[in-house]
Amino acid sequence: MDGKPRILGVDDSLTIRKALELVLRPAGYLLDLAATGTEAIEKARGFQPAAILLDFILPDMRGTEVCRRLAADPETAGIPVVLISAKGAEIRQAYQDVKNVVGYITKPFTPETIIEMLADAVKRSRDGVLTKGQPVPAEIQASDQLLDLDPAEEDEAAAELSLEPEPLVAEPAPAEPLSQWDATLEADAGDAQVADECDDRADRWEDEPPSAVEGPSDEARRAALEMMFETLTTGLEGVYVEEVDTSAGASADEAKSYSDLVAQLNRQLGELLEQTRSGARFALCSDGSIRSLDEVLFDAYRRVCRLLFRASTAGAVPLGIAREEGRVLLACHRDSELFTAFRAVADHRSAWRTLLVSERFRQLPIVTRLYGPTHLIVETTGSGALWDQLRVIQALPEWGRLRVAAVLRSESTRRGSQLALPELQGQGIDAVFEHGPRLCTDLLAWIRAPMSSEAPLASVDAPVSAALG
Amino acid sequence: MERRDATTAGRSGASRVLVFAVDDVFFSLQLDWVEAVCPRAAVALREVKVAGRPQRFFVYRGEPAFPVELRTVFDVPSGGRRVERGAYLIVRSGSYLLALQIDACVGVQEIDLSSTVPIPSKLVGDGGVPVGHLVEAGEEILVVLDPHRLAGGVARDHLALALRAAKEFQEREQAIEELWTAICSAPSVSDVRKYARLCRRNGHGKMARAARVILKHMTDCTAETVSANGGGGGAADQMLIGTLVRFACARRTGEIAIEAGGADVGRVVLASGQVLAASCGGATGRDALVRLLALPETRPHIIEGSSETGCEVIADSAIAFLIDALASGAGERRFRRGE
Repeated sequence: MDGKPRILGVDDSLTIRKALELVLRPAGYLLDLAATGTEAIEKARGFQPAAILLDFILPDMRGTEVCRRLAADPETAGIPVVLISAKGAEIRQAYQDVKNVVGYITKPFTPETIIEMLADAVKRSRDGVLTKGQPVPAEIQASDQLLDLDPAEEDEAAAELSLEPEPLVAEPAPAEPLSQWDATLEADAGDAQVADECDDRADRWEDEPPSAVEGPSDEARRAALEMMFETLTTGLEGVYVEEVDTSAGASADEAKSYSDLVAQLNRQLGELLEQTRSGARFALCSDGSIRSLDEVLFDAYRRVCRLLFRASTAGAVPLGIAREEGRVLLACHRDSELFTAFRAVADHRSAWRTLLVSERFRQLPIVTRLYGPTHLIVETTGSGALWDQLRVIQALPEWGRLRVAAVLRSESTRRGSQLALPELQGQGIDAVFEHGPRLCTDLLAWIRAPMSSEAPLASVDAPVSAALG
Repeated sequence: MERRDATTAGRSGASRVLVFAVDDVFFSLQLDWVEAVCPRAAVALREVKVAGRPQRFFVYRGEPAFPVELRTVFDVPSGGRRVERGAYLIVRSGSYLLALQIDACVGVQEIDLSSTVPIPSKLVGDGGVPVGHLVEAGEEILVVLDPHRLAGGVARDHLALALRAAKEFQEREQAIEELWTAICSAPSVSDVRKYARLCRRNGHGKMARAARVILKHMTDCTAETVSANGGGGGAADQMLIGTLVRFACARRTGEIAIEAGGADVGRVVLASGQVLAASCGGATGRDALVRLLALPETRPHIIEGSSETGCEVIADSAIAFLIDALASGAGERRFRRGE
């Protein structure tokens, strides 16, 4: 050995493992890597690392379990462990409960943070003192210098997906070759030149910080991603590359299941989303550029779109968001007391899409025609501009397959029960709600209810205080 | 709706779109596809028959543009009324120019779909491809249209026929212009016949009918000798026109006195086919001639040997003037009766 401390990095994400390589090898550490808890324990017993960087969530066990097993073994009990996770609260608890955990880092982390924490852990290892170090608060860690890699480097399968992004309706574009940086990473990720380049890029970045970016991606984007993954995972079961995508030149011996590709991309995107949720804003990409995490995420999203398009053109899955549970269109006056509840329904993260129209109700018929909602929720007074447009919607082909709920303002409920309800009954409205504290919950429950479980409309005599659909 | 300064366009990832309103829906089209926005009042609509159905169009920079009502495209009922909107937005859709009827232009805006998820429309065009995408822009819903999906296969077939018909229409218009120039300088029976036919085909009914009336008299001229006193027979209403046409065709010079109800109501002076002067009551010149043509039961008398010189020429071609006067309404009552 050349006297360099030997570190064991444990993370099931190849992205993080490569990030650790890029940080620790230039910093003078020997790095061994493990992807599972079992592998980590075996390696720790095998070569007694100076410290372990351990991911909190592993495929086979939790990081705390790995720590306990290490602590229970006299050979590994003295190895200091630094936990890495995006789950701040849980990791803090583990830090307090488990003896051999000397520190923790919450994702996203900077190179400086990890080197600093590791140096402290190695020092404790040398001194034979396993006392708790000073954890790095997440607020400090979530600085600009976050380290992450583009998911496209993951493997050849990911390279297949790293095509020029196209929207769902676009024609297929030619495949992009693996970048030079990908090739370098694959050839020798630990090469000193790579590390130097990484350092150079970090220096450049300090001189020229990237431009300001938007915040984390919105809920709708995540919901759309999850829907698409579900579509792909289900629709592509048993479909192989050569069946779907002969234009990419996939030969039989290189063929991989599209389900595999989707699963990998799903995992990569899951990590990206996780990082986004934890507040990360930037990622170090495989081509050496530092890009906003949003941008990287959207690239991945477009790859999914593209894959979906290819799969759909091959007939493997229907075009569009086939697994979409429904489209909800809400219409309510902006100054209405119902608006807050309607807004909450519209913002609710779910497998259905929502659109809210709060003024200029003349747009409703055309929006209905284009949007093709499965559910329509309207503030109802039995008259006025909104009601007029509802009548126009009734003439649309969508009306027959549309579930319609009317929501009454509280002050108009009594009047509505006497005046509006008979009219509502004749208008094909499926459910009637009134304003109240549970309105949002009731509406969400009504949307979720299967289409077949239609409840009768409230009669004129019945109270209209509950969801009837 | 948030609007950004158009000068900031061109940043990577953002796309400049023209936002416009139709029935309170905010639509948008990528600016590259937008040719122009024309106020409705500034547009001269034409009509051709395509497969037995009338198809309106207007000419934009020499190319036919076909009005499109988005409500109709999306099959949204308009309550049985014909929708007339404030302007036409001319957009290129494949080989055709479509003139979308719009209520108003909202402005040019940049959209960047990396910050929002476009929802493909359930309404699809050929191949099941959405006709557009819905995007939430703040509190508003923006429909990003794909101009190439607006017309489906059947509509494009119709447009192909309409385009051909419109181009033929334009060619006929060109021919009508040329023929009119010829009629104004040296009228011939064949030119007036072609003119009447082309006017009829292009929907200029009044001009076509007027030309046919004059053509009938011109044809009669070839078979008859102009009598000393109007001659030629025919209905009383037609006598003045017939006399003028005969004079013009024979390129004679002379004066025609017109009587109505036994009284002298006016005079017309011709010289070698040109109309030199006219008088009717207190009116003179073109107005007088128009009034004379509008009078019922007139009886013209040729005053032999009479001529005037040095007068201002009212019309280089009496034939062209008569067609124009008959079609413009002064002679409408007369020529209807005459037909």
